[in-house]
Amino acid sequence: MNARDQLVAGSRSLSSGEWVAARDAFQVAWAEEESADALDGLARALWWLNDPAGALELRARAFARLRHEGRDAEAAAVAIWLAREYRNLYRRREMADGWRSRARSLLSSLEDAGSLHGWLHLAESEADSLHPRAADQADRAVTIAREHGDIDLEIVALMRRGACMVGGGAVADGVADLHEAMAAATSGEGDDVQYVGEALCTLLEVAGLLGDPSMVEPWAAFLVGYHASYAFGPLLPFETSSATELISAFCTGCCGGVYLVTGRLDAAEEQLSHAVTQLITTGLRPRCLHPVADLVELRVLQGRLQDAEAVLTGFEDDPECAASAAALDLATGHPQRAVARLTRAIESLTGVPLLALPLHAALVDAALASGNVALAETSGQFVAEVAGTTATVLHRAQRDHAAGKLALAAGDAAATALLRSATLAFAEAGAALPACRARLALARSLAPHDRGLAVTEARSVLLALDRMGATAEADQAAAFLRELGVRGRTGPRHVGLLSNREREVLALVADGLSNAEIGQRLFISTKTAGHHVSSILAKLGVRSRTEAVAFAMLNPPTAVNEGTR
Amino acid sequence: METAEKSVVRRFYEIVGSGRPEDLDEVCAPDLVGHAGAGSDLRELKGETASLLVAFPDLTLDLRHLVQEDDLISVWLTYAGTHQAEFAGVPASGRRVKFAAWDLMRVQDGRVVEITQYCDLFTILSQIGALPTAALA
Repeated sequence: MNARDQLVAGSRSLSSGEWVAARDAFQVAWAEEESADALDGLARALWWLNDPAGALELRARAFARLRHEGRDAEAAAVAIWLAREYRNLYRRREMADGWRSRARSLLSSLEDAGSLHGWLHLAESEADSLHPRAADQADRAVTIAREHGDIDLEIVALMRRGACMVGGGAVADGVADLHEAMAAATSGEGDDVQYVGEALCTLLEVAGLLGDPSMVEPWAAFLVGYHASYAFGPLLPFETSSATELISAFCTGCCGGVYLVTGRLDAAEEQLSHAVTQLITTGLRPRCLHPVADLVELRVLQGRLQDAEAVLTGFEDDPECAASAAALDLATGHPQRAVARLTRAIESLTGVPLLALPLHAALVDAALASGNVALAETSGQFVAEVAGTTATVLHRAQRDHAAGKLALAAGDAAATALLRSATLAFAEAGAALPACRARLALARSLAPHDRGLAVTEARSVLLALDRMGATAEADQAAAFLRELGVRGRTGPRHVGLLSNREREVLALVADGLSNAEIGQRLFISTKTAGHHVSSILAKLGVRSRTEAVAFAMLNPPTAVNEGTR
Repeated sequence: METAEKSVVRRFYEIVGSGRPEDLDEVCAPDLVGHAGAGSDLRELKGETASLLVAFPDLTLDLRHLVQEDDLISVWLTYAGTHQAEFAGVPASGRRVKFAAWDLMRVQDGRVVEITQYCDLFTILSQIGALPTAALA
């Protein structure tokens, strides 16, 4: 085959997702005859083979060759692609700005630029934060895409417009854009599968902001089927079969954040450590979260505060790391510093209430810890206002959590109902970790008048946090249980730990006897029977009689223990 | 026309279904006596209820039959929910459960004064995957 045939073969491999074959074909083509097309094809193959740094370098060289060959429109397209990748993958603003300017000058001298002006508007929009003004740029891109029938541009620009509108609080309109774009992306209308990936990434980002994973579900299911007939290259491991795996493979960084919220700290640890290493060694970072921010949060949860400080080094002033850094400040006893840090970050997010919401939620804690109730109330109010516009379950949970903590601090009886609502809503949103925090506050609010229920709720929190490996917060729950006069933690749990008397009592509990009836049967007082039952619950690490019975069914005493009866 | 006692019992289940065990004070006598799965007293009843709600936070219930004789109400109901937190030492499985339960309540002066609760524990444990199954390989 000659160079021209190799170029054709390479292009065919690119469009059918055979990235290795594409790379090999373009390499041979380049060896035969150096050309812009060979370089550009090779660059695109490398991008899919998970070498974005190599891809960017080669595409920059392809840009120069295209210019020498007088193919300015194609060169401008490459320049815009470079600007977007530098911005979206590496956050290297200067490089992104430079390539955008280069594209702009080229476009100004072109007679027929097709939809390229639209791509430039898209890049301009992405250079900004998720601000309503960035929605205007995306809107222009959508219009141009439709005029020229450029479906790829329409998909990404619609996603961008939707995300900016949601960020500015126009949730319903924004979400409509996202779903329209996803419909186009998943129907196969577009030419380049890269933009299907970008669309899904934006969808995950917005779903994360709104705390509404159900937004992704219908599309994720579709993508599993799509994947079966089309290889996604490095973004998806070959074996991926379920929707959840698909999403996590697509955007491991995102899912590091998702695992953190859902309480799967071991999975989060693996993903986030990898993402941070990648960020530090190559500059590459996931689009939709800051891995440093999430890893700091994880380390604080684990009580590894020095490790958290080490990870944060060099990123202290990054607004995206403010909430995690503030959590670290609180854990190390510096509430004032947390307040100052959060206040600064919030100021930089004026006009983007959705991004400011988690910071205000954190500021409620920091302000209360530093004794500034008025500030905590202002932030609680902000959370409530945003929750009112988005109406998502997660935001409702955050609103009630903030209001509940304020009520608890003020000794207001309304605290219990608010914190109960928050606990239920966090659980409904699948946010296990915040649900634990709300439940511990709920237990605190119950303690003065309903000690028994406070103990049950706090035990639940302790069990859940210990299981997650959230050591530092589990310690808080255990300390609270000790305040209530209850032993918090137990070691390994099995029926063999019970004394002979406790096993007798457990058998009677299993028969459905009440404490009074157990007392009569064993010739002990009702109160003593109650003590035995409490001790059984603590030793088995369960919350209720029903669970104790079930635990005994599932974990029968071993033969040796049986013999001691 | 429903009896006053049945209305109290319905309110009892509304509170359980809304996930707020602390509100059981509204419909239960402070010196309530409990048997079997209900625990021994009001404090334990709330704890038992809270415990079920932690493991199955989206718990819903369906009252199938309410049968009254004097101040005694017998209730046949089914619960449904998703296993989202540890139950009896079994970590969250994400599985849906649906199980039957039988409660007997004595209602006096608008309050539940005595309660006995049994639920189908075997079905719960089976549905959360904690029991060995005889399913075909």
